[in-house]
Amino acid sequence: MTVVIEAKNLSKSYESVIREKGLKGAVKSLVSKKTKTIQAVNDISLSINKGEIVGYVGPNGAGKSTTIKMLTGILKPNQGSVQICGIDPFKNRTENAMNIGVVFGQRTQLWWDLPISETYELLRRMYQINDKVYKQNLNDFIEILELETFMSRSVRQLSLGQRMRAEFAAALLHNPKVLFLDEPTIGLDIEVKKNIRKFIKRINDERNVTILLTTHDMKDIEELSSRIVVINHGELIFSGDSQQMSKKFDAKKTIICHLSELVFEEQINLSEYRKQGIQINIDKYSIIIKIDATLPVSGLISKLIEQFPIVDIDIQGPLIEDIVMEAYHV
Amino acid sequence: MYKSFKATMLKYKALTSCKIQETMTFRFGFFTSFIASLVQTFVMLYVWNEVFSQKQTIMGFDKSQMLTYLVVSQCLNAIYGWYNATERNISARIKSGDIVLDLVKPINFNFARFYEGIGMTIIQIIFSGCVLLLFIVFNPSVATPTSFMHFIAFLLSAFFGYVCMFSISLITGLLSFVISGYWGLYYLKKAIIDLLSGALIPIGLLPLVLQRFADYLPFKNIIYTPTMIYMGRISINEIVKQMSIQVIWAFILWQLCKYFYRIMIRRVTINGG
Repeated sequence: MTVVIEAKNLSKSYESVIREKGLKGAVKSLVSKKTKTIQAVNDISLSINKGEIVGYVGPNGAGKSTTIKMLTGILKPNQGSVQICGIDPFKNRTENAMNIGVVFGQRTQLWWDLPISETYELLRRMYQINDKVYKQNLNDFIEILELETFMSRSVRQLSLGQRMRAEFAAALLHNPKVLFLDEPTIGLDIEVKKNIRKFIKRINDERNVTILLTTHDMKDIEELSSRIVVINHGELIFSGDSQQMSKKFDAKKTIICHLSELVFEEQINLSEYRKQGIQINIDKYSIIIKIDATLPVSGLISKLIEQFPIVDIDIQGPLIEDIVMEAYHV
Repeated sequence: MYKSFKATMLKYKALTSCKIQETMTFRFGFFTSFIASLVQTFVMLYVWNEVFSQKQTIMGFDKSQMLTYLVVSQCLNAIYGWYNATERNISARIKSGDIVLDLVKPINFNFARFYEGIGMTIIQIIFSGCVLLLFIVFNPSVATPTSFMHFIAFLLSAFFGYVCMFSISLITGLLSFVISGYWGLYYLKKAIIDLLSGALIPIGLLPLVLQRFADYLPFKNIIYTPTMIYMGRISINEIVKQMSIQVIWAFILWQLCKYFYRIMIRRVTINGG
């Protein structure tokens, strides 16, 4: 396995100006400025192999974007080192740029007032893309992302969904080895999201592009990533696949038994279950049980079936969303 | 070697062409700003007309020379003036955070801004050239270049002046990496340039102290020098000397741009996530 992204002990802090409230504070800040150091990223090490899709998650302000900016060579880390395909992205910014593609969900690299085809033409020159490769890629993307109908319309007239599809094509025209996606599905409707996910998967399969993806949509993570990295308050708290993750943050699965008649708390020996570490609650016509994801459930269920008139049972595996929530609060 | 040079040129030429197209979509804004600069030129023409009805010459300029100076310098100023878009663009992109997208491109930041600027300027040159021509045709006081040689020297000198002007704009733009609210800096820069570049009046009309001051600063290379060459008011020897000074300043200012870029890029913080 070749390591494509290698970050060692990355740290980055900002100076932030503290301003007191209101007009008085504004006047005061003209004379004396107080600053506070904010540690955005603290000692993060990360190693990503070729062909991996890594989901990089954390709450707002956790330091995800800052990390991405250091990995893409935009920000200089205060401490630590980064290598992308063996290149230091900050020192050799332009060289590194040839290897990477970037999609920022909240920004656009397309020229706002020109048709998207003009931006593609510009990128072709900028990355010095070989004519054959350019034509092949452009045709592929036009077909997969269905860009044909709005190729000649100016970007400001496009819907967000159309623009994001165009954005993906722009980021991939030069066959980057690494793709950085910073919240690529933000604000998109369900269908576009689904198509974008399918596209990301396909790019990863066909071209073996390594992908680092930040998102707040756990569906993205579930469907795409082979590994999840969680950060919070600038620190890395977890790295591994979803199973390891549910183990680490002792994820619970939920069992809901629907009954044909009302149940009352007195009918069930709650404390006995709770002693075994099983959360059990009663809500009119149903019994809701939360249990460690790793524990077997058959014994428990057969016991309940004997005791209650159960008509239906739902078992929900640990939701990645819940686990991530759990992780955020660690 | 040649091949890679050609590819590099194509890279930057593509930026210029995109910028031309973008500027064209703002035809209306462009046209109105053009009218505005025309009105300004007319006002100044009338003022000087009035002044010369009382006096034959002022500091060695007769009426025809003064009006020629005025029109040529205003045309140059209009070309450079649009150039402030460079710093405006940079600071707007810093404010929105979109600057990150310029920094992940395989392209030299300063050069990219230069070639984008060329795109805007080409259109401005066409407009300004037309104005100059109109004045020459319809106002007998406004003179053509002294000779063909002077015209060529004027173009060359205007180009060097342009590089100086661009570099100063770029430095102002780069400073907005760390200064929020660049407009204060922008107006300071504009005031200094208006005064010391000869954009408003020939530098010869300024108080002696300011003239001395201007000699040691890069600003007069921007408008005063090319305009004086156009009018044939300086000798061949002096033309060569002045153009050498322009080249030296252009070089120094461009090196400063590189220096500022290196410093600023280390201190950059990105707004908005």
